Amino acid sequence: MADREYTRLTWARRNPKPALLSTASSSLWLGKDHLLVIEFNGYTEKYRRFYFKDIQALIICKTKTGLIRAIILGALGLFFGLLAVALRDEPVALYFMGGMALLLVVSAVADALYGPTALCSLRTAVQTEELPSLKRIRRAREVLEVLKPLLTAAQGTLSPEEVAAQVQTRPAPAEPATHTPPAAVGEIPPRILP
Amino acid sequence: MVEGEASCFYHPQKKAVRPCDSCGRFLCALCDCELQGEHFCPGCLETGSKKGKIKSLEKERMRYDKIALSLAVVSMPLFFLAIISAPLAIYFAIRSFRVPSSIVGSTKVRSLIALVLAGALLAGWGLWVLFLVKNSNG
Repeated sequence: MADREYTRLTWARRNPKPALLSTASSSLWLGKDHLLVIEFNGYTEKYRRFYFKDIQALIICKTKTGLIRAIILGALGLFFGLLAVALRDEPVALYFMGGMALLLVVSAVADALYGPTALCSLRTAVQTEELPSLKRIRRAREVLEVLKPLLTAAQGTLSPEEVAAQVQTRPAPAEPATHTPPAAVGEIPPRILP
Repeated sequence: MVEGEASCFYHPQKKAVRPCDSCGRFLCALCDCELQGEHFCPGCLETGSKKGKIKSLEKERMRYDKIALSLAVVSMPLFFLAIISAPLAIYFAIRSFRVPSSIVGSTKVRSLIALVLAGALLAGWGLWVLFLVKNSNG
């Protein structure tokens, strides 16, 4: 069997950007010399390539989405659990509410076990591209570990001395624009007369 | 340009440095576009990008197998629409066998399932029509 050109890094995840009920999804693949982001909108796959030599950073920002979701699911599970206890005399209601409670609690626990959520983006010299398929910090770190040697091989490494030299040679940020001094006492600024 | 030297196809006054790997036209350093070890002229690069001949420039692909499967699955509960959607599903499933699927590679399982489902739906339609004809005659 021939070697596959791409290795999957993430499964397709729904892209939350276009719309709440959108079917658009995104997945991340590892190529020979680039990362491939596939966006699928239900009938067409769109490809975007990020070459290793161009990638400057993989930005991972921890979010509270997972925690909030787990709390909501847990609270709903508790609510249905209490309903099941309250309606324990009705077998149908007991099984339905109990089943719902179990499902929600299991979802909350599974969500919590996957670890904290994250918002990841890929930075190049000309763009910062969000990676909707990387949603967990743990997975993002795993991807980063896969990418590190490839990026190093494509871009080389800098010694600490070289990094310090680069920082020193970087031009200082421009001074913020200063306000014009107020007119001296008795000095009338020019006015345009109608 | 020195007499006897090959000139660029696009810039006759400039010296050619190499031929295009696709069309063979001579190219100067300015027109030589290197892509993953291959050298193309701007024309071939544009054509390759538009027609998907150069894989690394391909920007999108239609997933006929997924369209076929979606149509076949959607047709299941909407039996009366299946007379239109099932042949469409069969068409897209057959088409998916002829064109390349996803750039990352995929199996033909979706197309096969779509073919089976759409075939079953059409068979169901056929039986239903036969039943109606038989009842109207009888």
